[in-house]
Amino acid sequence: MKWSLRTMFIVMMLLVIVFTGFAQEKMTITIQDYFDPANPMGKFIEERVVEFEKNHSNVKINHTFIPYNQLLSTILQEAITKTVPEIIMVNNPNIIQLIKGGVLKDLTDKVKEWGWENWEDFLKGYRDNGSYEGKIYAFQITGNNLALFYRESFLEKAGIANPPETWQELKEQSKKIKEVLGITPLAYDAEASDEGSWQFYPFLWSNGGSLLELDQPEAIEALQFLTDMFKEGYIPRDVLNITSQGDLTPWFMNGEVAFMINGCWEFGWHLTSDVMQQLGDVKVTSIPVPKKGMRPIVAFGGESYGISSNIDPAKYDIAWEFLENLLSSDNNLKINIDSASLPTRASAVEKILTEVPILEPFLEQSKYTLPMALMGGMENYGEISSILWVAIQKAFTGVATPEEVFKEAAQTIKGIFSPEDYEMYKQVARELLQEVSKK
Amino acid sequence: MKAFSYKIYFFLIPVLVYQLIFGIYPLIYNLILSFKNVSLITYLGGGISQWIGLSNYVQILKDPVFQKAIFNTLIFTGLSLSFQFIIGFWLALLFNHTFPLKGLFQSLIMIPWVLPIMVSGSFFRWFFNDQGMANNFLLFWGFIDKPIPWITSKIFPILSITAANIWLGIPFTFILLYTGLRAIPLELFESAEIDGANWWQKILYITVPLLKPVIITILTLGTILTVKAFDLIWIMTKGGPGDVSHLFTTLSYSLAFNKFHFGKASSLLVIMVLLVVGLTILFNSTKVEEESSIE
Amino acid sequence: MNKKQRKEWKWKWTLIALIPTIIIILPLYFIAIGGFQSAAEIFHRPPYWFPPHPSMEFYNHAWVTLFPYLKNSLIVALGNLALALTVALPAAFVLAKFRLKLGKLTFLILLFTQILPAIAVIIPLFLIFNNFGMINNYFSVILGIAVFTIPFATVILRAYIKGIPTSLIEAAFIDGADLFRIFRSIIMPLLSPAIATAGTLTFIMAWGDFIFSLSFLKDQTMQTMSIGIYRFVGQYGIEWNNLMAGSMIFAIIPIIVALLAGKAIVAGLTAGAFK
Repeated sequence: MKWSLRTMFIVMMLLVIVFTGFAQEKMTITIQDYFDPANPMGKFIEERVVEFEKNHSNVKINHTFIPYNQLLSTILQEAITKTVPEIIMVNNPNIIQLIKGGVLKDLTDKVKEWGWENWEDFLKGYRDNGSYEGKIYAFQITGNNLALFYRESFLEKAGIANPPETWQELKEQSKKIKEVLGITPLAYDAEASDEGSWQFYPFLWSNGGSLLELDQPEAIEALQFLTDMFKEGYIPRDVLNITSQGDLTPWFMNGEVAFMINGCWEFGWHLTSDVMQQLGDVKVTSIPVPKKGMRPIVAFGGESYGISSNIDPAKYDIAWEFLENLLSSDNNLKINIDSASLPTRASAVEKILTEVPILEPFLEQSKYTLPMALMGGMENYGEISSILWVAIQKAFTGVATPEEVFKEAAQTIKGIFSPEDYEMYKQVARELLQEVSKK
Repeated sequence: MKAFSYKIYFFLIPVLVYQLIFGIYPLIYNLILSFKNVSLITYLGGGISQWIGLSNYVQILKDPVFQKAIFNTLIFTGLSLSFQFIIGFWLALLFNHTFPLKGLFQSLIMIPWVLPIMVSGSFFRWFFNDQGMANNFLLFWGFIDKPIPWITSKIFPILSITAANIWLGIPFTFILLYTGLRAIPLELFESAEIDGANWWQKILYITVPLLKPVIITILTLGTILTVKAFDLIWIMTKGGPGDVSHLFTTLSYSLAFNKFHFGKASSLLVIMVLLVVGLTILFNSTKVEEESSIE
Repeated sequence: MNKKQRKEWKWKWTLIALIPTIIIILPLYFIAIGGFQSAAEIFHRPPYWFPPHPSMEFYNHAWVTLFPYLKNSLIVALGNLALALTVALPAAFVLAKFRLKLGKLTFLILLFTQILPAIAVIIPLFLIFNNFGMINNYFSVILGIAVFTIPFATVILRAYIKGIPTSLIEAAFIDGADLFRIFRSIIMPLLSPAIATAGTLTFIMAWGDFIFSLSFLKDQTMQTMSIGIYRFVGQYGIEWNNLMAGSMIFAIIPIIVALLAGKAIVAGLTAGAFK
């Protein structure tokens, strides 16, 4: 009896050793993001995975998908329990927090090996956003920004020859379109989330305003303009509650609005080539500026990847190899074609125009885009953004005037920082704005 | 009877132990968090959160959005429970007859609980849009000449959200009351009829007293589930516009994941728990004329 | 009344019940047809009562996307149901019929531990489960959801057990039956409607769980349908038509469960001591 028990025990131990041995034969690297494999960017990543596994027979790459709105909370859970996957996608505005929170690994040495010129090939805004105190932590691989979409035939019907270039023109054209066509012409996202804030930035920054100085006239004017548009009925009231900017496009497609402030990705999302053909008159131009001759200054969006600071040292080289491949100039171009986004490397950026010519206005604007987090107090950006969108909504619903809400918001925002920090972040934002406003 | 006592504990211990470990620990965790100054960076481990005592609580109580949230939660919970109960009760009475297709209808009534809130919530948002079905209907029939801002004004949003929530909760009250009703012996009703009672008296003197345990359970669990409601509000308005439609849960979430004030978010949750604890103790202390329990 | 008249009389109730049923499932109708339309058509104003150019494309895509998750949702929901009922029934019996000091405390704990929303609970629970290496298997999700479904089921069952006449139990004591026997032979048979009710609600809760499945299941092949649905909620916006089609598919199993439970509720009462 005892003898057979002991044998069983030994056999079991052997089996356990054998199985764990087998399990360790292949190195598993996980790349976690919100790219659904059914959509272009997800497909692209899957292709790179297959490619990489073919060339590295002892490596298995696990592409895990998490829902978009769960990205940060998932990373948070993983960080707290030290279970962060090897390669993770990070949201633009949160990169600095993840850096300071010690979640992302310092990749500067790897970049040196790779070649400094590769890093410098990434456009400046993306480099600023993905690094801290001279060390590199994250790479942005897709870029996007907002522009003014319009239905040319609607403008024609209202007797308008050219799309609006200034705020005044936008207002006048909206008035005319409303009179002639009976629709609320401008779709602008004013929801209670980051998307609501980010739609405001083109108006704020083009007018010389700053997130950290909302009580200044430049900021108040921007809010006043949009509030007037809302109050006059040129913006549909329902924009206060939409789920995301993507909800504006069906209105645009249905002819319920004539103008839409939306991003270049729409051409890979709702406005596919058959839809474009069907509608026949969809055009894009840069966002209207406060006064003629001024330059539209918008925020950039897009996705970045970094490596977990807790990565098993044995896996680090392979993980970097996979990431490095993903960051190549060719891939930088390819990943953005099907989703109508902008490449983030200078060597790839212009090439996208041959593939997706309608991206031209976005490309132009991308030369003068700013990183939201750096313009808004870095790790405090999330809080500042939430104060902004509440203020916008208050102004729209008439709780108080634009001046009042922004004065209050500016107070609250100042209170987040120590006086020295506030001055510093204020300066950073001012300098960044000045740089892109230079002629 | 004494001989049973240890076996009784066997029946009870699994549940108690399970909830003590997995239920109480999160409460303590949040309690501890509520006394600290926690930012995303310190939460991630890039620093130590400082102990700041009751400071989070003080700040929360002073926040006008919190004060609005108390008001909203009371309206939301009070109206939701009342209407869900009335409608559920009426449906339960209706379904207490046998008729063709009853099984099918019964299962269809569970739909509000079954559909993903992402979808049903979005439906109600669309329904209550300025350009949505509700206004279309009212405008078409001439009841109003301008769209009503059901979810885009300062006052209506919480009411519209409550209306949607009433729909959501009907399956819960319905099925509990229905099963309870079915357990009442028909003879009781028959003998009451013989004594000349009308339908209203039958309900008041037979149905309600016999359903007391079920009714109190519905109130208790209903309160808990309703105060906990998050997704519906988030999908319809995200607590807006301009922070007017926040409940405790959405405000806590916003503090945690928009502003990264995790300590404050936890203190809000603790306040919410204390409030609900108070309410449930209240509901369950009304002396239900208990049938003699054993021992 | 002859048989025919009785039948007509019953159909009257069907018609009356039809009205609230239709009102309640009206949103369902719009969601169901949404699955046949393009995004622009769904949001068309005024809304379409019939899809203008119905297409099976989205239901197909939703089915293909969601089907792999079906087995996982079943494992999690049924596993959770089994666990919850197994643990809740005995506890509910004791809580309902015996006056114990520990009982009062337990009952309060059962209520209090349900109050926190799942997001507040997920990180501490994740910490515990991770410590015991229990992440990334079905069991951890089942246990996680059980933190809410066990007390929920217990409280509901307790209410129904209270409705069982104590005299029955006392009579059995006098006849010399032990606790377990009483539980099995007297309480359980009378409880099938209550079990059906508590079971349906518990099943629906577990079927719809999102946060535990998302956090505890890292392996994509083990994730549940509630996460699968979120494949249609992307960074650029929501694929409404796919999402709506997906919701219909998502709802099939719980509705079947509700149907079966309905039968059990009716059937259970023709047996038992209520004659």
